[in-house]
Amino acid sequence: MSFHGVLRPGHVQLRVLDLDEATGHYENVLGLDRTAEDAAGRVYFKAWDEIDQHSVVLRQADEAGMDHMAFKVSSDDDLARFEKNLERSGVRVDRIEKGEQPGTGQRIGFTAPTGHRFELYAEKKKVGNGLPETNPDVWPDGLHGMKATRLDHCLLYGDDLDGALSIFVDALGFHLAERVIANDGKTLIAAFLSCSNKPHDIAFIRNPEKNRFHHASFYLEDWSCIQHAADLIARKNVPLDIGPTRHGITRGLTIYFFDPSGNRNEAFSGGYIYYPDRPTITWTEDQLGKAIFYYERCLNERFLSVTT
Amino acid sequence: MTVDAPAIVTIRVDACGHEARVARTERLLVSLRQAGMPCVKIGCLGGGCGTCKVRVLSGSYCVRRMSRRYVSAAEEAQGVALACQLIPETDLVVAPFTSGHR
Repeated sequence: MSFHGVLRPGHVQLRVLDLDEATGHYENVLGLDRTAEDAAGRVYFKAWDEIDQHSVVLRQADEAGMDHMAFKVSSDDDLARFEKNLERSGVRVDRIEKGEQPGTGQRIGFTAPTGHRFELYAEKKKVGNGLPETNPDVWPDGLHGMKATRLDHCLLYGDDLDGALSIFVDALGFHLAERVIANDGKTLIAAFLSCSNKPHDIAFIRNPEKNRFHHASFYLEDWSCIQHAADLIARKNVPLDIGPTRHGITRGLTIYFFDPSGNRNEAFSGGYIYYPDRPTITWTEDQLGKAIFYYERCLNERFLSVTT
Repeated sequence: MTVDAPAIVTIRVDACGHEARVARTERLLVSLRQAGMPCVKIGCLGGGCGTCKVRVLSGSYCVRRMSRRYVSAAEEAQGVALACQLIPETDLVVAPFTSGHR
């Protein structure tokens, strides 16, 4: 087993309507740690078990949604290789200079056919997970809120799903772990893509409008942590979308809720171990309810239609 | 001695004629949901998604921050708001927003 190329979702930069309220949510509800801020007023956070400085960036703006999602790649050579691959796929690539986000090396960026901006980078300041590298305990002191361990994935809505799939697979080396096919037997409705051992690192759902943000997902350790997340959502009066429940797709355990600006968050656990030689799992549109919400076996309208 | 404004206000939703007496300090969408009034759809409850857009036909209110993508400054000045961010100050008559509604 060797990991190279795109390693994982590195960070997501979200727009929020009120930075103080949003900071309180990501710190006290999700349990992230605030690690940096910059001259532009952006605030940076990490989940406790992440080593790199940040995985969530919040920017105050007059509308909610996602500015970009960034993936960490294993080396500068990979960064150069992906830049060439993307350009060969007909995608225009731009460069963001080192330090534009604190502690972060040069990034390259592009707009996917679904309208979303993605970035890649190879370097970010390592701040550690609060545990020593020799004889560590199993968690550090000071965990709080939902005790999210990492940014897990994002789900995005956009129009040209086939175009996005082609770029992530052909230019960036992702694998299609699961997909949903429409009743016509051919139209791709949803794609769940992995660059790792996770059943998804990025997912897309077909939607007429480009560049919509459905959710950013954070990993919790187990089912009892999802239950604790539900307790916190009730206790802190956080707007609940749906859950706790389970997905057919990925087999993950889940609860969905909203940040104070209406960006959807997921607390997620479980899911199977993905390897690139696993066959792609296909779900049919008539089974979509069970695919998304395995226990309820039906979708709620809000989950389908509410995006930022 | 000061006299407080009434703590309860009456909300009427123009489209369906439903009426509810609700707490003056609560956000309109939360009150409508608690009163079982379904005519304004519930979205993100954070002013971000535009699902609960309404036009206020009468009454006064204040609003928390709303996404400009869904409520422009001009619309806001004309009584358009997201119900999840709207806090009534008096009795209100509201209508779910449709672009043709005047």
